[in-house]
Amino acid sequence: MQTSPEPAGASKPRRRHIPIVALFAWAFLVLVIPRLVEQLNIVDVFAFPLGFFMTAQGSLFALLIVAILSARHRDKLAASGEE
Amino acid sequence: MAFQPVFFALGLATAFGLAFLSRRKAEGRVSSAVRGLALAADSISAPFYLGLAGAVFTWGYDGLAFVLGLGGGYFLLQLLVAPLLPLAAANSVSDYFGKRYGRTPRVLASFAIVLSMAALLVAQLIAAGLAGAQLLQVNYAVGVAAAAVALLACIAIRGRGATVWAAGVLFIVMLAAFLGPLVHFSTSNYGVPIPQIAYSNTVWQIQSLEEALLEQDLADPAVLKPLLRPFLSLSPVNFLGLILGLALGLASLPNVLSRHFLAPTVPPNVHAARWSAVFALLFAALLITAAPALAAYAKLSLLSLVADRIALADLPAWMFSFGNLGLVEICGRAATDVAAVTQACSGLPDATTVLRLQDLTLDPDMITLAAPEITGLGKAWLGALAAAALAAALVTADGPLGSIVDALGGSDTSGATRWEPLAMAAAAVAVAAVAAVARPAGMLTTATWALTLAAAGLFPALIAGLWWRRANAAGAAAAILAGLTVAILYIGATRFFAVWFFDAFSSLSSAGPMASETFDDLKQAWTAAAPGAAKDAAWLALDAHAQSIANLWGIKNLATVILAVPAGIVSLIVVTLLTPRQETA
Repeated sequence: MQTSPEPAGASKPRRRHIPIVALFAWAFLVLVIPRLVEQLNIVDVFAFPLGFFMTAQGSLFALLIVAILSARHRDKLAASGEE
Repeated sequence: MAFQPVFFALGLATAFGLAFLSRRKAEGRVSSAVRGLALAADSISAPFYLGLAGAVFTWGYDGLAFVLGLGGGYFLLQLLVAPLLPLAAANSVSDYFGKRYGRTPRVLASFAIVLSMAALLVAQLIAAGLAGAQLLQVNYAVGVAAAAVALLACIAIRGRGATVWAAGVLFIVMLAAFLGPLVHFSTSNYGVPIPQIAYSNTVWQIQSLEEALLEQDLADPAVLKPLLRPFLSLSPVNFLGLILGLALGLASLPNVLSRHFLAPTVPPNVHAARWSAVFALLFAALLITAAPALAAYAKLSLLSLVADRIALADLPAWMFSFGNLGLVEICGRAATDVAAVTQACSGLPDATTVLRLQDLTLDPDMITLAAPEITGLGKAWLGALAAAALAAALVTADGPLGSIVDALGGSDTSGATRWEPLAMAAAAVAVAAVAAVARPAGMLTTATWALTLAAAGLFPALIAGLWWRRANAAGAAAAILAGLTVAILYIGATRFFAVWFFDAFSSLSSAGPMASETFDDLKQAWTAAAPGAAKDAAWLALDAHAQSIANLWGIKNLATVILAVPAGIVSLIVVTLLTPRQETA
């Protein structure tokens, strides 16, 4: 994690890239996975039916990992001046 | 019982202590981790703290929509909103709309802010009232009044002091009160100190108990909602709508955005803003993923109680203490005491002397507060949970109040005297307290409506403001107006004018022929009833039934965003493209 304070208004002239990969990951974990619960429940993980586990906690921890990765990626972009 | 008021005092002392220390401290630099804790406290607050486990307990798998919705909200916040807001050089959400779009969108956004924040404030006071009533063993209305007075005292003590670190400390208290006993329970019962994993055993135990109850005729297959079976309480569309409402609402919640990304004390640091939202997701996940564990432990204990064929005369005391708050019904009547319950159950066509699952209706709002007694973990945990919830409501209510005062122009210091914001806050608390006492909907439902209103009114225009340079004032105004109108009309009509709504839109409702027939019968009964008590009772029955079937295409009002947000997005895009480009901003 590197610190990269940006001056106010500095982003205005630059183009903002919509974080499309992270958004897809969000949609998959939050909207698609819970819909597939019955199919996923056939598999067990930590003695839980997988579908239930994902909705109750698995998806949230996966989101956390994606959030950390995406935040680091954005920090890097900002440091290299691309965003 | 006698030591419970001590916990009430403890809750008050926590809130007052934090307020007093805040007064003496200036809002200096706060690390991302501390801001993350504070952000989690501000967004979860008392209603979700006390409501999440109840949702899973009552709705089984479908209640997990709350877990995913809130978690998904933090993710959107860190991805789309948090990093860009500090660069906007605005002081609050309404100020942001003013600077980005101009006067009209600002006025409309202020309206959305006041509505959603008022709903959140009401939900917080309902939570504080329930916790207070349970701790002091008083009437619910007295609990709400006590909480409202304490809230005003908190604001007076704090003044314009620092709030972020206080909310951060608060979240640690909330986590400790929630997780401590759960960890203890998981370790002693399953040998695993992580509740999120330990309760897998409970899930299977619940499943076999559910089957056993059905075999023994202690549960009605029409009423029992197995924990693991999805979409019994919410259809997939409603499940998705609820998730979206919570996620989009959390990502545009005015009290959170104003305090953590727009306050004058927040440096325009993209990195810090992004990471504080990531930390918020981390800390909030610790709490919200433990809620299903609490729900499962409570459910197992309750099912075991029913499986033991407990006699109505031997029901545990918690049923009556929550029954007196109107949150437990047995055989269709509030469980106020043994005599009332026995009488109600003996009057049923299939009269019973033992408790069956279908006789028992528990309000989701009470589950977390009752869990310590249901699981036999004792009064001390109940005290700690209720005290933490009370403190959460008192400390974080500052956020919605500040947003309301700001949106109404109270924080505009030019020309306004120092007491004006305070008077506005006091008026807002008084109105919210009256609404909380009337309790038009449960705590969790009201909090969900608050997030729905924020999502419908603010989210499309906020995101477009940050990510689409072409978005202009006309488009933003259209988006706020369309989204908010749909949300207000749909929530308002399906909850408060359900009979009229169903009459007008019965052809679009998902109600089957049986439900429609029941509606017609109840309506005839109401028309035929003699004026007075009989007519009132007939209306209550008709209205309650109408609320269960008043919908368009089966969409419940908890999932209103399914209708409101697309309306906002389409209006935004169409109107923006049809009107000239905005030169400034």
